[in-house]
Amino acid sequence: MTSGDHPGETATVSSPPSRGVVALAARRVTKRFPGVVANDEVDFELRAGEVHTLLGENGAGKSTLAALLCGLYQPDDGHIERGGQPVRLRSPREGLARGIGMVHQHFRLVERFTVAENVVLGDPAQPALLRRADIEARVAEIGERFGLPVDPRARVSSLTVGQRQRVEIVKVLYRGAEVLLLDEPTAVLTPQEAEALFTTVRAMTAEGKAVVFISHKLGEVMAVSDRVTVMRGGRVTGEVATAATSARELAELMVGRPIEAEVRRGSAAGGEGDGTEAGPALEAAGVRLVQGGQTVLDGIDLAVFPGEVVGVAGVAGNGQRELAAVLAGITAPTSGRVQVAGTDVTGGGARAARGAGLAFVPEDRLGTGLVPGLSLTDNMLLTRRREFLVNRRAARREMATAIESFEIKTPGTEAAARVLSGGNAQKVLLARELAGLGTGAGPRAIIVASPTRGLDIGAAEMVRGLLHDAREQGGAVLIISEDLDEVRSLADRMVVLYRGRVALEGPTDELTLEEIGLAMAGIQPEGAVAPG
Amino acid sequence: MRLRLERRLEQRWWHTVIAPVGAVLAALVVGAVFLAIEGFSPVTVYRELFKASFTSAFGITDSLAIATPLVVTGLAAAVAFRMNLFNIGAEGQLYAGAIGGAWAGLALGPHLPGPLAVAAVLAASVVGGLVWALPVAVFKAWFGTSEIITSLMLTFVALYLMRFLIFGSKSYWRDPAATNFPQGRKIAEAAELPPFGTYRTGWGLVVVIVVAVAVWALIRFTSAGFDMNVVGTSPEAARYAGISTARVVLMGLLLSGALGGLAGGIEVAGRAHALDPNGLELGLGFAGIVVAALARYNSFAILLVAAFLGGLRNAGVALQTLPGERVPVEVSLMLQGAILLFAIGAEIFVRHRLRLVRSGIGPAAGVAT
Amino acid sequence: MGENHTMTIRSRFGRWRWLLVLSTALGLMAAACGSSSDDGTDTSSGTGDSTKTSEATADSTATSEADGAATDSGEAIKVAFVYVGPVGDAGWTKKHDDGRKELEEALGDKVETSFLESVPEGAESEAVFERLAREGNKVIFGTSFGYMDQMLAVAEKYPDTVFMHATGFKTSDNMGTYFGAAEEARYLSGMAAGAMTKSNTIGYVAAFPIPEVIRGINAFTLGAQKVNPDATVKVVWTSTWFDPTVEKEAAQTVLSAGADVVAQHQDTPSAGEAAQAAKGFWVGYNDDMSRFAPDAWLTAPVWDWGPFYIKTVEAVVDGSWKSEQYYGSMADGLVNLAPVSDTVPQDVRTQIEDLQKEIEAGTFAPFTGPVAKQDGSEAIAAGAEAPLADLLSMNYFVKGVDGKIEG
Repeated sequence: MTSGDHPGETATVSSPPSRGVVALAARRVTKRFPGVVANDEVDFELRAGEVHTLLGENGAGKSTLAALLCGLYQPDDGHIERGGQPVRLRSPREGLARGIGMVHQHFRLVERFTVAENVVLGDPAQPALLRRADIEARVAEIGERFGLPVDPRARVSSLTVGQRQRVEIVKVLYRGAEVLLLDEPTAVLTPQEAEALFTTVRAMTAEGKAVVFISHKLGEVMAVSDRVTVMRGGRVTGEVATAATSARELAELMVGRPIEAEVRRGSAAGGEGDGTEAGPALEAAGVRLVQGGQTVLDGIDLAVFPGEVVGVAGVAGNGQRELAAVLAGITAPTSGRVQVAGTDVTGGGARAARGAGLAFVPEDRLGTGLVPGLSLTDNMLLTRRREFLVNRRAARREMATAIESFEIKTPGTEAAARVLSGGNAQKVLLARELAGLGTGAGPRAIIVASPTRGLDIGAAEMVRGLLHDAREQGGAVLIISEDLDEVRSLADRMVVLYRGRVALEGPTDELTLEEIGLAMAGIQPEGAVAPG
Repeated sequence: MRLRLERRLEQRWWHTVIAPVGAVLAALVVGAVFLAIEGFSPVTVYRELFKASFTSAFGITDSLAIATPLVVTGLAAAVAFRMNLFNIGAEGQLYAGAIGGAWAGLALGPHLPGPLAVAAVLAASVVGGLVWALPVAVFKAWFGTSEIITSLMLTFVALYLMRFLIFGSKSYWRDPAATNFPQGRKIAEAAELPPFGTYRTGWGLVVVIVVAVAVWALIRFTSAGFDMNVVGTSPEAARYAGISTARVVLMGLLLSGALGGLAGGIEVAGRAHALDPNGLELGLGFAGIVVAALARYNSFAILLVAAFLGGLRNAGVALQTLPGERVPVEVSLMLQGAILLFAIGAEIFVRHRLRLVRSGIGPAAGVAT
Repeated sequence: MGENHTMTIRSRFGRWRWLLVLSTALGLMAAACGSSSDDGTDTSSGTGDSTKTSEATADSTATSEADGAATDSGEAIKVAFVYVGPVGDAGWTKKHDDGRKELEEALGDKVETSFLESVPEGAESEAVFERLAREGNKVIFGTSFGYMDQMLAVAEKYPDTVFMHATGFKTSDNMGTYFGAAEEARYLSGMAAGAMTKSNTIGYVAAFPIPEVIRGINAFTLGAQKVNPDATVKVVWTSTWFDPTVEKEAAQTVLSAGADVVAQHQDTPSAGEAAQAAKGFWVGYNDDMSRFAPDAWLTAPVWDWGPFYIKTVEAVVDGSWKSEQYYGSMADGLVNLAPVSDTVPQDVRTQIEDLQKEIEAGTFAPFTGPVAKQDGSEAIAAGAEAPLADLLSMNYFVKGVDGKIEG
């Protein structure tokens, strides 16, 4: 039903099972930002009682469309229809007044308030004098009805991420939302929490509510949605019924070309045997870290051997970030040892770790990994050994080569790093950190945090390929990420962190999703022996 | 509906030129309105201002004489500010440098040939500035104490120390022959920076130009300068790259202090020729902050901005003697204040852009591409 | 050194301090201009070489008729004044500017005056004086001690211009100095203070421990003791001539230390405000400042520069001017006592008036022996009159002063 030339869109023809009337629709809406057409004559239809996924890469325009649908933005052309009537939504508040509620990826809760207080906070429909008991009762009632168990009197500061998300959903339901827009809701959840969310979504649609589900994770899209609208470059490239499509077809609609065979975790020929004999390239022994009175790392033992990829998974805030900082020498551990290629670098700082052969690609690419205000050439020099005078000539040549071989989109080697998109920044980082790999001068161990987070499929593919190559060339790769799919798709071996401890460890192929999920949630399976 | 500031993704080179130039122009426009309200002819006042400072050999050299110390105090501020270290104590470091420089001029000057005597004064003034910046640097680097507070407080200590040395004690610096009003002893003639002929500007100008180039080269070409850039713009990246923030902060503040001290030495060797509290308490150190801000911390721009502000200051007197249009001294003060305010405002617009938005929250991710 | 007259240094920094503390940015900015002075402007791009006539300035404004008239005809003589503070300081600078106005009034269109205010002392002032000389000013008055070396340097370059330096001691063929015997009026004002104190403690807020100020404190103390032998004078140094805040704080310090009368050697009336707030009395300086604190006001030693300025300029015009070191007095009107407040008992007022007549007649001098130093040793022998040279280099306190010269 749209433009585009990919054969995949023929899928549109199979008309989706219509469950009800059109609850919310965008009719040929266009939204421009300086230099960008974020939405280009986009059509979108949401029926009562359905889950309709907006699928697309970062920058495809799905968040802009969601913003148009909930009133955060106003279309430059075209219009929004609610219940068949054209409406002008001048703010999210007006959207909510018409029963359209958005649950953002980043929560907007006041930590010191209780759940009930947060739910009514800023609600224009509330009387000046709050009747606390009534509110709490209604919050509890909504929670029960949709499978969102929350204690209305609990302070938000005491809630887990998953619970906070429930509060956000209760908040829009409390205000009478009939249409819910969920922006990447599973990004912060454990598999079990995600499954619970899907149950909630189904409970809502069963009551006739309509849900727009925004995601780029094909697996959950297939699991939860009735229909999928795929976007690319600000346009709709296809609308398909989930039952009539496959993950592969959706991926091709997203990318706009056939997907190459996925880069898989390495074959057994990855050289593990040699590596083990050579000893670990990166090793943590009994690493403890106490920060501000809190034990954030509690006796971590970890070893990464040459030629293997180890993944560290866990729900955000369970010590992953701190572990990366300790291993990279940025933070000194309170106790325990860190060795890089057999050299003890504990407490020696980042330079000692690097000197021993460590490379580190941090999660925060622009700002930590790269200095936004410096040129690409200078960023190349950031982690290099420098003499009294800075030698830019070699760095410039190296950067120029990298731009060519990694297809980095930049005005040139002297452009400031801040102009780079996420994918290009990641390529620059990898070019710098992996330089010389396989030769004697290159890194022996590589720590990569959330390597593909926020990247489009093309860039993510390239990053996966680079990490794969690094492993093939005998590098020891440690991937630390909150994205379980990312870890599972890349790692030979997995470690799950929970509250600064290793909660589960084993070869990726031998761990079930359920086991991993329980470990992430801190639940020990019956009879399991606590590892590490 | 409301206005919102958004960070610019890209800063074009011309932003950095437009901003200060626009700031100056806007300040002049505001100044013109102010002048007109007060009954002056803005055209006349501005023409006189320009003529007085920039159209004759005397005017230009007098403007440059004022600009000379401003270049160094501007560099002192710029070196620190670009690292987000707000050393606002260049004023005190200047006094400390003057104390050190005057000592060298008195003690070593008589025994050294000209160029060496001058070098001794300048070197001693650098030491003075370093000593004064050392506590600021140490407390900031290792204890995180606000350099704003310590550098400002030490400015007062330096001020009162200098006054004490001349007014309050029979110190080495005080002229024992001045039995009535206490004065500083004149340094040896060999230790003076010679003027160009009969003009009031002299070799001090050459010194500060060399220093400006040296500071630029230091930041551009050395690893120390590289580290300062990283620490200044991105402390997280510095930690990530294993650059010792404490060491670099220490270095940056000491360099800033050394430059502040050097300004004192240049004033002693070039103009005051003695530890002269009255001739030194001109607010040159504080003015350096303005110079640095307008020049956006660029060494070469600092040379131009210092010349411009030197001219503005120089013209203040000319404006006071305009027949029929006597412009009070407050006007040139007001004008300079306006320039600073607009400069700060322009800085915000270089880094951000103003957008009209309907009430709402952050921009959609869709805009990113 | 015989004829050195004392000085008046006013600090620039103090004025800006509140700004500094308040906000760096703006304070810094303002200090930047440090008050804008300095100069050296050459306005004569058009006329190029006409450095020593007033054409230069005339040219620059094109429209000024006054200037046109002032040129070669020699009808109006150009006279410039350089002030260290603002003319609105209510004290030292205001009195000089009052003198300038008297000069204009007296000579009418024979004179054309201009003035520069808030010109910092020291190196930067040289450009100011040179510019004024280049613009064709025939007489240039500099009213602060710290202009001394710069005026001398410029005077050498411009031998046809007369430079007059207040409070200094260096002269040349075309540079003279002027100042006056404020101690005479100080003595009389001390009598008023001595009569009014009940605690027998008088506070004295003073700028710098230099002969000019010490002389004033001693004369004031001797005057107070004349009517009240038990009176003591408590001295607080401020190290600034012009800083209302510091002056006020210093006054509050002595008031809370038991003083009930405050005298000052400072430029602003803020000590009076402190005295009034504490229900004490106040002896001002420079000018009749009674309006600032009418309840506290007693009197003040004041300056009247006008007659001297008129005399000097007239002498330059008729060619009779010669370089000298002028030291004025109550007799010739340079120094005066402001009207004594009615608060002071009539008998004391009469006593003061009588003594003033004696001073003017030359039959009484404040520093007449016996005068004892703080430690009781003899400063001036009984019946002797201290010579001027001793007065001008005075560096001891008399008995009854509570304070130290150093620091």
